[in-house]
Order: sequence, then structure tokens, then C-alpha cells
Amino acid sequence: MTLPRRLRHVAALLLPFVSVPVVSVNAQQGASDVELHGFGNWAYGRTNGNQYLSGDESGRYDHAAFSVNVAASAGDRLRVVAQPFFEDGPEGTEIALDYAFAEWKFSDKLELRAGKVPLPFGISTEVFDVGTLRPFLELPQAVYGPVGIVGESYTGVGLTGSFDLKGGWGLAYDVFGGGQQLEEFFPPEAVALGEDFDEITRVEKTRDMLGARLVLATPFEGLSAGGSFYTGIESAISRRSAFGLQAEYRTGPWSLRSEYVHEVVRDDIKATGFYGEAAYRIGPHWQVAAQHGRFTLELAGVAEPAAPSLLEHEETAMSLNYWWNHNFVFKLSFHHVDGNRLAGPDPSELAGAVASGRLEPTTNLVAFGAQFSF
Amino acid sequence: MSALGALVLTASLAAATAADFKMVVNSANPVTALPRDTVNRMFLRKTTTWPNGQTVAPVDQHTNAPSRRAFSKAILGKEPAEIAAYWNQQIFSGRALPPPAKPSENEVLAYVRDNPNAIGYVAADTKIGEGVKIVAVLD
Repeated sequence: MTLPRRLRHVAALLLPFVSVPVVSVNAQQGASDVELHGFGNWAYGRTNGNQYLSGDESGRYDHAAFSVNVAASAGDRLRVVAQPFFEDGPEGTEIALDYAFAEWKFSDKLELRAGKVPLPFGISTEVFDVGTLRPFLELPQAVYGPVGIVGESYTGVGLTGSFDLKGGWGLAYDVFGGGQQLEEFFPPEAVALGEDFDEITRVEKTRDMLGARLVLATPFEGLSAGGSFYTGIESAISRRSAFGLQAEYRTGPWSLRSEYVHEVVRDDIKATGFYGEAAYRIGPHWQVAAQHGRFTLELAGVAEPAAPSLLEHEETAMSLNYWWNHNFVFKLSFHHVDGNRLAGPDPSELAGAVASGRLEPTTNLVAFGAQFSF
Repeated sequence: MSALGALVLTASLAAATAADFKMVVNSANPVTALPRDTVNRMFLRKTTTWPNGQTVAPVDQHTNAPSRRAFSKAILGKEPAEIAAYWNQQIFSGRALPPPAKPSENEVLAYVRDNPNAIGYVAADTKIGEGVKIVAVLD
């Protein structure tokens, strides 16, 4: 596969960091530390008809991904972090830059970040593809799926830090400005609008963007809650705005999470997503998890779409996981989906299925995979 | 944290600190005692400076060291798997890296001896030698 020129340059720049062992020198003033970490995954999926996540009706083995995280420090205040991402899937091989930024530390309460920076929105945007940080193979799709609400990074400048408050409370904050690119699975929306589409994934660009996230740590061990917000200009004149609420409780064997997001693109769309998730560790290795989520989309000028299921996604899922250790896990999950915003026939067949009344609104997926990190 | 939970954690802390490990710093460090919460924040990279403004350099034991497990429970209040998840979150969000982990007690002591801003822990019965001193952990 021939890489675009920009990606060839990125790959050449990062190759020395990938091909040498980890180098870590005692942190002295002016010295450099370089550390290498990474994560990856593979998944198999089979459905009862529609395509969804890693699965289709015949069973799909070809989803695999790997990422390298390179972090270098120059002195006590400057850090540089980069993370390229490599993914194989049914649409071919993708190489992308998750993020690359520099961070200047003024104090524990104030750090400056500049470059392509992980997007601080919600619980998991900053660790979007790290499978060892969640109980399911994929993040909850009602919020984190390719529905055009949250991206993985922004390009610009941000401030971040944390404060200790009285009584055992704590506050972590992020404020940022710049632009972002959202990838959206477009065919269902296109068919609902009665439009043709050339690309399956549409990139929505937001500029002149301002955003923030506040996360409150409570005196109750493991319990935190927060909110996120961003607003910016999409295309020529439309304003895109989104806000989210989050709550998380993680202690001992329990992990409970819930998020709600709402997005408005003026004169274009309104989207709402929600999920709740619970996971429980049984001994040092086994884990069970359950999740429920729902996403709905309203399109301006489309009061009653030909197939309402094209704008909806409701999912209930269960997972049984075996953690070899905290960096290597096998996951077996079952997903029941109502709606076709994310699950459906091959995109090339979608319009025909709607027109003939053969669109199947229900999808069942069994998925098995391995995820690891180091 | 509930009152019962605090009582259990305090009892666990007292037992672990006294019997399983001791905190050490460079002899030139003027600190003689630290609150448990401060040690917690130093090893989780939430506090990155000493009171004098110098950058703190925490050093860990290797994953399977008995003193590491005791330290994780007593000071960090978490099982090793929870700590590992915390560091994966920090690493892959580009926010922080974990303290270096040394494979032996002697290497921890050498690191602390060679670094005026270092803080580490060793097994309670480890002989610490010159250049390193014990620092008390306060509840």
C-alpha cells in the first residue's frame, strides 16, 4: 500500500523510536527521558445478518490494530508525546496520527499543551482505542460510535491541571481551543435525506472551537462526576455545539460508568446519546459486564424519514472477560441492537433495502477478541 | 469513604507500614515525615514537587515485590491491578508516566542515594546504609 506523502514523513520520523529498545535515563535537570508504550487488539465478529462493529453474517477475522506511544521529556517542565495508530479492517489499512503535542508544566495546577492533543471530552475520548481500559471490545457506541459527536483529538492549544479542594474533594480541568475532525458513518443519514453518497466515512471539520471539561473527584473513594462542552463552526456558517455529563465509580472489583451527550448543529441535526455500563471482577482473572445505550438523531427538514430506524441505535450488551493480567485480556461479548444508525447491510445495498422494505432493524452480534497493552 | 472503610484502611495502613516496608529519601533531604496523602500524590504524579520546589523523583519496586503490594495497599489504597489501570489511563492520554521500577531493594537504595530529590520504599528489614534515611509516614 502506498502511503500518502504526509504519512510517509510521520512514519519516517517515528521509526527510530519504534526500532530501538526503551531508553530511560535518570531524570536530571536538562537530561532527556524517552519511554515507549503501546497497545493493540484483534477481534472476530459474527452477526445474524447486518454488519456491525467487527462482525458480519459470514464472520469477520480481519480487524486488528496497534498503536505506539512515545513520550520524551527534556528537563523537568517540557514533555513531548506522540501516538501513531495502525489499523487493518474490511476497508483496508489505515495509518493515522492519534496525537502529537508538547506540554509545558508551570505547576501541578497549570500545564500548557499545544499540537494535536487528545480531546478532553467525557470519560474515554483520550484513551479511545485502549482496550485494556474498558470491559468491552469497543467503547459504548451510543456516545463514542461514528455518529459525529466526539472526536479523538483537537489541533490547537489547551490548558489543564488539577486542584485539591477541602473535605477530600478534588477538581481536574481542561480548557482548549482550535479545531477538530470528526469521522461520521454517513450512509444511514444520506439515505434518510434521500441523498447519494460517495464515501462511507464523512469527515466533519470544526474550526474556531472552544471547549472545556471539569471533573470533580468526591470524598467517596472512586466516585467522580463531571461535564464537558465544546462549540465551533462547521462548514461555512453552521455552529456545532455539544455537551456531555459523566459519572464514574471504580472501586475494588466494581466499575460503573454512565454518560449523556447532546449535540446540535444549527439548522442541520440534533443528536442525543446515553449509556450505562457495569462491570464486576470475579477473582483476579474473570470479569462480567453489562451495558445499555441509546442514540437518536433528528435531521432538519426530515420530519418522518422513510425508515426511522436509520436514525436510531439502541444496544444491550454483555461481556465475559478473562484478564491474563492487567495488560492482556480476552473478551467474549454478545450485543443486541435495535436500529440501523450503525448496524445495517453493506452500505452499497442500504438504499435498495429501504426502498424494498427489506431493511432489518435488529442485529445480534457475537464478538471475541484479544486486547493488550505495555 | 465510609467510616467503616476508613477504619479498615487505617488499620491496614498501620499494619502494613510497620511490618512490611519503610519509606526512604536521600540523606540531604530535610524532610523527616510526610503525610500519607502527600506520599500517595507523589507516587501517582499528582504532586510533582517537594516543599522547596524541587521536582520529586519517586521510585517503585518491581511488580512482584512483596513490599510493592504492601505499599500499594497502605499508601495508594488500591490493588496493583487498579494502579496498573490508573497508569495506563495516564500513559495513553499523554498525561504522565509511572515512576521507574527497580528490580531489587539495592537498586532502589542506589537510586535514592544518587538523587537528592528521590523518594522510595524498601522492605522493613532492609539495611539502608549511608546516604539514605528513613522518613515517617503520617496518617
